[in-house]
Amino acid sequence: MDADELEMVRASTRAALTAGDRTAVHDALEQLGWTELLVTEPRAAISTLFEEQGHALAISSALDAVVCAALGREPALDVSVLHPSPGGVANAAARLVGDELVVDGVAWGDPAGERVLVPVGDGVVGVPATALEWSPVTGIDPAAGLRRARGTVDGRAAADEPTPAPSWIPAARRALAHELLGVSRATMAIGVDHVRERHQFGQPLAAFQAVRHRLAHAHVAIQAADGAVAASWDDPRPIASTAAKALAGRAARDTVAAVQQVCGALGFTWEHEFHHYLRRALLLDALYGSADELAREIGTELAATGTVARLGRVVASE
Amino acid sequence: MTAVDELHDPTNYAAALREWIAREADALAPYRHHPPGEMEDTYRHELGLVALLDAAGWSHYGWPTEVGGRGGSAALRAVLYDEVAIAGYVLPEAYLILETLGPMLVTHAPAIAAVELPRFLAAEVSWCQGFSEPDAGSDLAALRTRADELDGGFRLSGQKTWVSFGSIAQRSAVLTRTGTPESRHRGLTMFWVDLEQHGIEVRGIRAESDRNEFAELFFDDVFLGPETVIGGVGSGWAVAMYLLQFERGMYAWQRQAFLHSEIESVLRAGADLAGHEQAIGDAYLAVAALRERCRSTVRQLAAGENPGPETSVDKLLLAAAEQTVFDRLEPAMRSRFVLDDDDRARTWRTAWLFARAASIYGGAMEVQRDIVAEHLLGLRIGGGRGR
Repeated sequence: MDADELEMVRASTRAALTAGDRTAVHDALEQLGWTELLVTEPRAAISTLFEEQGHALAISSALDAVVCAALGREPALDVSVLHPSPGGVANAAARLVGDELVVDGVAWGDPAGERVLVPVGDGVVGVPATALEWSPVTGIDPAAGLRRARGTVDGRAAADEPTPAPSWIPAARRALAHELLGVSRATMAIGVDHVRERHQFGQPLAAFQAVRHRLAHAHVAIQAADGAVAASWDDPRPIASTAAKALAGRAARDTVAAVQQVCGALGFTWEHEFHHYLRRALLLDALYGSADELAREIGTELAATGTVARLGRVVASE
Repeated sequence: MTAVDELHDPTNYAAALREWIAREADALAPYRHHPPGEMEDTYRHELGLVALLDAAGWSHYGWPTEVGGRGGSAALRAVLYDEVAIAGYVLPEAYLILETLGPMLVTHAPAIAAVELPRFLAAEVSWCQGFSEPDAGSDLAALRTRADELDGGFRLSGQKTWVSFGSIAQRSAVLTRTGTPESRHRGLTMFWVDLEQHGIEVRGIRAESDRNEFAELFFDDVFLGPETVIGGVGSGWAVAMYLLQFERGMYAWQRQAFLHSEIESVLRAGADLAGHEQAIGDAYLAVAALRERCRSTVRQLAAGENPGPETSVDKLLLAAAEQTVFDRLEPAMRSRFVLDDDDRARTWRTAWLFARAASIYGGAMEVQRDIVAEHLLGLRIGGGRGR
């Protein structure tokens, strides 16, 4: 896909994401053939949708479709996937205890079908939505529309041996890294606009080196994440997606902290749009492993193997 | 060996190079470790590897045939640096100065490059870069070293400082003022100076690492012929900016190769790593971020594009990676770092100390952040520091 085509996909995806409520968004995405694109041109489909979604603070079930595709299923926007609850069992929305599956995960919106898909190990279990207890997540980012599902169900259909690096986790991390990039860039734009327009001591805030440097530092973090996210498409090893998500999470946290500071008291108000971006950044960082958790995961792996993976090749096969 | 044009494909080149490295393990064995001690001794030791890579032709790829290279994209050079480090060898520091000055010579002084580049690759001559002065560091346009035009050439006088590899180099690129004292970046000219001629004195500067990490160059009415001008009289700033892209891109690419190896060597040093997992992960992420950024810059440079101020991001990520690796891993190396005096402890201490300079050399971190703010974020509002 060339740059012009990619820009067209991006523009139509952006329009679809702002079509209205979640159902309207899904209809619009189906209409433009996003799920087909996810199969034929996964990089174009995922990079554009998630970056635009982050930028617009939109919500959709695109992550469910990405996980479906990584599990080898036909991706669709009307299936519900249960994602691991932040702070719960690492990288799992469910764990097998004997024959039972103990479930604790989050899903976007109401479970669309009668069943939710619960990834376990490298496989997936279909669990009747009614077998789980559902509660709306208000939490740090109520606008995300998450619902939490907990319960214990028959786990005999689940894989016996969960593999340490199931394919759906890197896929989810990479998609979320793109979304974090979108959030970070939108947040940076708020900060840049503010320091240009807001005057103190007779000059724009942008004239003060301390202010400029704070934003420059965050910009560098975003660029670093951008490079790592691109590399995660060139390098199939799970560590590439883990590094991408970690750097994107860190960039988002650096950016919201910098923009919060330069926006001063105005940025601290409920009325100012900033806190919506802050909330989304915190939520997305926490999903599928926060930057710090992922750094620890990487460090543990490197210490165990004694080998340091160089990500990507010098010349990419694009 | 495979035909030359087949090796222009980076994948073929990397595969053939890996094969050669494996086959030549005995000859390459002395270059698995960095000998500690004086910078000059380390540098000269590493020239043995430079000579081997020259004799086998590997370092000729990625340089144009017009200047004695074997052609192919500059990305091949990046592959060479990566593969040497991945195979567990210490990348010679000579390649840092090669990547700083080589592309500038090829583009802005091909006649000089045709003579000097093959000699450098063969480890017959060393180079250095005379930019900074006592009163012109990050504020490069304040420099005062003069090159006054006279019959048949120029007369060079003044002083350069903080010159890396200055104490061993025979040639230097020297940025001079040919215009009026007030002409700032407009009145500058770059010259290629033979340091072995009359009127030049070189003094090593002892750095906090207890090595001559840099030197001072003194020029006392040195005659320079017109053929020593790089890129034309008055275009020194443009030439310097062209050079800086490579210094920030290709130089940083070599450092990421080195830093990956440094993390690996700490992991394999036999220390108890329990409790240091997050630190190891942080170090890795900083280097991975540098690598991915430079990878795209190297690709742009290889395609003949000029990323310009964008390379300030590379420079900032380089500084962050150098310091994060050594700061975060130091606790895992604590007793060796603080107490020991074996070769490994000494090289590691030198590397830790050298990392302090990464946020200063080549334009201090604060200047890079100014460039990012002004050129990349569009915060061009006056009232800040002028440049």
